[in-house]
Amino acid sequence: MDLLNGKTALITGAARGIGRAVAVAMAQHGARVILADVTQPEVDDIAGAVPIILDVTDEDATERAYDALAAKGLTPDVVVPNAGILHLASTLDMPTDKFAAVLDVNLTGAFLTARAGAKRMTAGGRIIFTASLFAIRGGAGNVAYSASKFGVAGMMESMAADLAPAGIAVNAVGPGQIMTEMIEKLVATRLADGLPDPRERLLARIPMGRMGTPQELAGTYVWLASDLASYVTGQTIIVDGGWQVG
Amino acid sequence: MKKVLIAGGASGIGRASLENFRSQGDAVFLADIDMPAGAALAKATGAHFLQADLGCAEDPARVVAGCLEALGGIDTLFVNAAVLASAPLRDWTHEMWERSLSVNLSGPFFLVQAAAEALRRSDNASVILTASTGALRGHAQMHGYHATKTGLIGLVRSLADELAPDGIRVNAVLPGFIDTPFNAPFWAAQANPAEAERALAASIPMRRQGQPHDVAGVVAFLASDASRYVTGTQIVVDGGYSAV
Repeated sequence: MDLLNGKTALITGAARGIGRAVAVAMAQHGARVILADVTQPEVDDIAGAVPIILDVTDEDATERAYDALAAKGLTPDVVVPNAGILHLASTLDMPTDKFAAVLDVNLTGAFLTARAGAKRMTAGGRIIFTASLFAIRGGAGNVAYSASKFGVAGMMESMAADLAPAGIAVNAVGPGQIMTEMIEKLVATRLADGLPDPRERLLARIPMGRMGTPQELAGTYVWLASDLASYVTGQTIIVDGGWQVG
Repeated sequence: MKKVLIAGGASGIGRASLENFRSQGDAVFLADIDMPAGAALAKATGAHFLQADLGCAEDPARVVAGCLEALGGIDTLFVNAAVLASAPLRDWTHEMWERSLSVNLSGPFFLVQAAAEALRRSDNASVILTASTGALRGHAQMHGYHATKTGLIGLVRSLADELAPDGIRVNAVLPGFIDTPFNAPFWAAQANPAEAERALAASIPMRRQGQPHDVAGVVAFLASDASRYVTGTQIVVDGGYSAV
């Protein structure tokens, strides 16, 4: 449990779900963690954690946040641009502003967080994006989300090529069906509307027969941030209980 | 402490993984075709050793039986043995082709078949097959290698689907250019090996070939609790070579 001793990690979208689980796991492995989100993340239960408020779509605010951290002696050598939003709508019903907002947060926001972090990594480092199964497959209602996550996957591969000579490895984790608060809300809304539980259809095609937990996902981020992944760059690591083979 | 069966580990990637598992205190049973190197490594590291040829029909079951006798179970099955044959298309014989298939594809398949019952008893069973970025690319003359390594990707998917209900995860690791003796036939097939090696390093984003321990880190992850929801997938470890 000491894979990340001496490392400093910045995680965006860290107030809840996958981001928070990643922050907790990295802290357990000895990293100093900075949790960023649009609302102040709760960090009382994470040793040495630093919470910051950050809108990842705001380039100036992002640069200022990194500078403020540097002033406290915190320069991240691991950056996890994880902040993401979801707007599900069929193509013909997708409002243009919602489509743009999803790309703005999930793709442009991830780029700004990663670039600002890479600029300050003077001795190499790691960037770990959150992709998705919707970065390798499409799905009904996912026209905006999937566009953003395919974008993340392509950006990650190009960024890996750009930054490898500087000793910065760039990868992504591709979560499958993970039981987060975002999904719990979705399920609750559908059940309240008298619609069938979407999990039944999902579970039928997951070989492991269950959804994953944010904690199970976090181990892959920890591994990618560690010395064990010393020659891994330009990859999306799928964590899906076998969903993509089914 | 895990019980680890490694097929193909007297040198290179398998050896680095064996040493890594042993340094964590895991029990290791090594099967390899190279008797002197395998026996010496086992003696030096406190692993068990059995000389075996994965290309022989009876050896997968013999290896699993030997492992169960020595360790009493299997949590991790790491199948890494392979052959790399290289020849112009017209010179490929049936014998060469069959040897590639039997060692690189049939051996892994029948090892998993033989080990499945023991793996079901583990609380974190993991099967790791060494494929290659050769499953994503092609090189002249290496027909048997590319065909079998690509075949392993399909095998991983079908095995993952069948074995997931039993709690057995199955994944592939795809090393890119790793600096081991295994690649000697590849370099020998190049017109100017030294120049080709320099050109290769320049074309890899990380600007170097991988070392065996770089791959051992991926194997360690796939064997560990940290990858409990990872199955049916492939992890490339190539310094970015195939991403660009």
